[in-house]
Amino acid sequence: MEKDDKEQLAALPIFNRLVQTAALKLSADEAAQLLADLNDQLKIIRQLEAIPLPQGIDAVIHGNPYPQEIRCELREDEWIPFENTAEITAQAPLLQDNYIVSPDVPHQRIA
Amino acid sequence: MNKEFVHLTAWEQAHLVRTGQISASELLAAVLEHAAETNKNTHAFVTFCEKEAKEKACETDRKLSAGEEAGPLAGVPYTAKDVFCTRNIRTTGGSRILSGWLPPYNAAAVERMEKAGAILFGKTNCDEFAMGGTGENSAWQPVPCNPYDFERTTGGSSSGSAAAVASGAGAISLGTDTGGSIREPAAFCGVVGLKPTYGRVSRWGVLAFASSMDTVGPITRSVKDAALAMNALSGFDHRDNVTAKVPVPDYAEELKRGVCGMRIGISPDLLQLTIMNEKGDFDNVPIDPEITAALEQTAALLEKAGAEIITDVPMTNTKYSVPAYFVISRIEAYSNLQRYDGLKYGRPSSQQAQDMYDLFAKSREEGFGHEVKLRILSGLFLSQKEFYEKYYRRAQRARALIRSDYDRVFDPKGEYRLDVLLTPSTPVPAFRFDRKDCDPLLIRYADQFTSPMNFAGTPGISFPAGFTASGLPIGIQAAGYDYCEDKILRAAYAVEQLMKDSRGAV
Repeated sequence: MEKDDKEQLAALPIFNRLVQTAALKLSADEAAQLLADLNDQLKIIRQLEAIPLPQGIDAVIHGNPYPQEIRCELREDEWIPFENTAEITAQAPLLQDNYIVSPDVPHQRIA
Repeated sequence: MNKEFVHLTAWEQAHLVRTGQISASELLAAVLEHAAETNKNTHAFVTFCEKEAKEKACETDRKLSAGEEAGPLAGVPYTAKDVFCTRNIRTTGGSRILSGWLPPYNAAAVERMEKAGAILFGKTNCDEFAMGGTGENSAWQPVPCNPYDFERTTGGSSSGSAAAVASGAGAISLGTDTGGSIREPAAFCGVVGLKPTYGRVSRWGVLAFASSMDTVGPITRSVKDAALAMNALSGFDHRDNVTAKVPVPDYAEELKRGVCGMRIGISPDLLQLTIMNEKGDFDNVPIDPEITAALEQTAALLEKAGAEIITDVPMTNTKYSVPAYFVISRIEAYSNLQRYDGLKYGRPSSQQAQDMYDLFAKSREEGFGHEVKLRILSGLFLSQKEFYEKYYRRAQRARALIRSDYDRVFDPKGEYRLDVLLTPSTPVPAFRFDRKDCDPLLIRYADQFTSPMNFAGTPGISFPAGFTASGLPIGIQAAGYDYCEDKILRAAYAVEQLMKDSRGAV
C-alpha cells in the first residue's frame, strides 16, 4: 500500500488541470487547502485496494435489483410541453427575443 | 396562542383538525409562531412560506367545513429540506449558486404531501447540496444547532429538518439520505428518521447529489407519523425511473401487527467501528458505551414484546462502505454538479466575464463552498481513465459485496432469516461544534452504520432509544430488506410504545 504513494496522490500539475476541467477558479490559499484535503481523502479511498473481491462479485450500479416486473418501462418519446415556459425563462439572467444571452463563446477548445 | 398543539404528533394534529377541535388556520398560526421563536436558537430554517401556507390552510378549512375530502394529513403543517423544489418558493440546496432561485414546479414528494393535505410552511437549512454530516457546510449561517444543546451539531445533512421537528416546529419534515443524512440527524436530535428502500419514494424535483444512493424520507416525532408520511410519499412515479412498481401497504395499519414472532438480529460487526490502519490491517474501534447499552436495552424490549433475538449475525463486508462511499459519491456528485455554471443553472457571477468559460469559472468560484469544490475535484480526479478500474469499478464491486451481506441475513430460506437487523444509528451522540469532546476518528467514520444501506439499497429507520447520562438523545437503527419498511416501522413502534418517552420535543 505504501510503495506508490507519490504516484497516486494528486500532484500540483494534475490538480491545476482538474481545477480547469472542473471550471473552477481558486485563490492560491484555497487551492493549497483543497489540494491538501484532496490528498487526505485519497488516503481513505486507497483503502479500496486492500478489499478482497472474490470471483463472481461483479460491479453493480445500484444495490437492490430491478427485475422486469417491477421496472419502469421506457416511455414513448413524445414531446410534452411545460405548462408555463415563461416561469422557466424568467429565471434567466438576460433574455433577448426569448433567447438566453451568453457572454462571447471563444472559438477554442478548453484543455 | 394554542402552544399546546405544536408538540402534538402529526396524527394527533390531523385528528384535531378533522374533528373541528382546531382549524387548520389556527394550528398553522400556532406552529408558525413557535417556529419563528425556536428558530432564533436552532437556526433550522432558511425560508418561511407563510403566505402560501396560510392560503392552503384557509382552503383546507373551507374543504372540511363543506364536507369535502381533504386528505389524511389535512391541515398538518410540515417542512422540507431546502433540496426539494417548491414552486415559486426559494430553493437553494444550502448553496449560494442557487440563491434566489424560484423553481417553476414542486418536487414529487411535495406534490404527494400536498395531495395528503399537509401544508408546507418552511424550508430547512442543510449542508450544501446535502454534502456533509453536521449542517456546517451550508452557505447560510448560522447553521442549525441541536435543540438539546445549542453548542452541539444536529448531525446532517438534513440538519434543519431534524432540529425543526425536535423543537416542535412542524411534526414532519422531508429529508434526503445518501449516506445517513436522515438517520444521523434524527439520532442526534432525538427524533425518528426513515430512509426508505432505493426506489420506494420518487426523487423527481430533488437536487441530486449521488444519484445511485439518493433517497427521500420523513423525519418525525413519532413512529406512527413516519408511517403516515410514508403512506403519502411511497409509490411508483414514471418521472423517477428507479421507482419500482411494488404495492404500498398501509404502513400505519401495519404497526398494529407488533413484533411477536419477528426475527431480529444483532451483528457484532456493527457494534464497533472497523477502520483500516496505515498498514492495510483493520482496527476495531469501540463506540460510545452508552450507545451499546441502549442497543442492548432496545433488544431486551423487543424480546419482551415477543421478538426472537439472534445475536451472532455476520455483516463482515459493511466495513468497506466508507472508502467505497468516498469514491462513488464523489464521482456522482461531480457529474451532477457540472450543470451549475451560472448560465444553464445557477446564479451568474456579478463580476464582468471575458467570455462564457470565464463566466462558468467565476460563477462556480463564487457559488460553491469548500466541501462542494473538494467533492467536485475528488470526483473528477477519480474519473480519470487510470483510476476508473482501480477505484470506481472496485467501489462498485465492493457495493455488490456489501449487498451480499444483506441478501444472506434476510434470506427467508437462509441461516438467519431476519426480519430486522438492529444496529446503532451512530457511534457517538451529538458532538460539540468545537469537537473537543469526541474522538475525530469516530466523527470521520460516523456513517459506518448507515452508509452500507445506501449501497445495499435497503431501508432503515433511526428511532429514539433513550438518553446519555448527560441528557443527549441516543438513536438506534432498525434495518430491513427491500420494500420492508413495514417491518422496521413495526420494530421501532414496539420500542416506542414500551419506552413511552420517544416524542423528543424540547
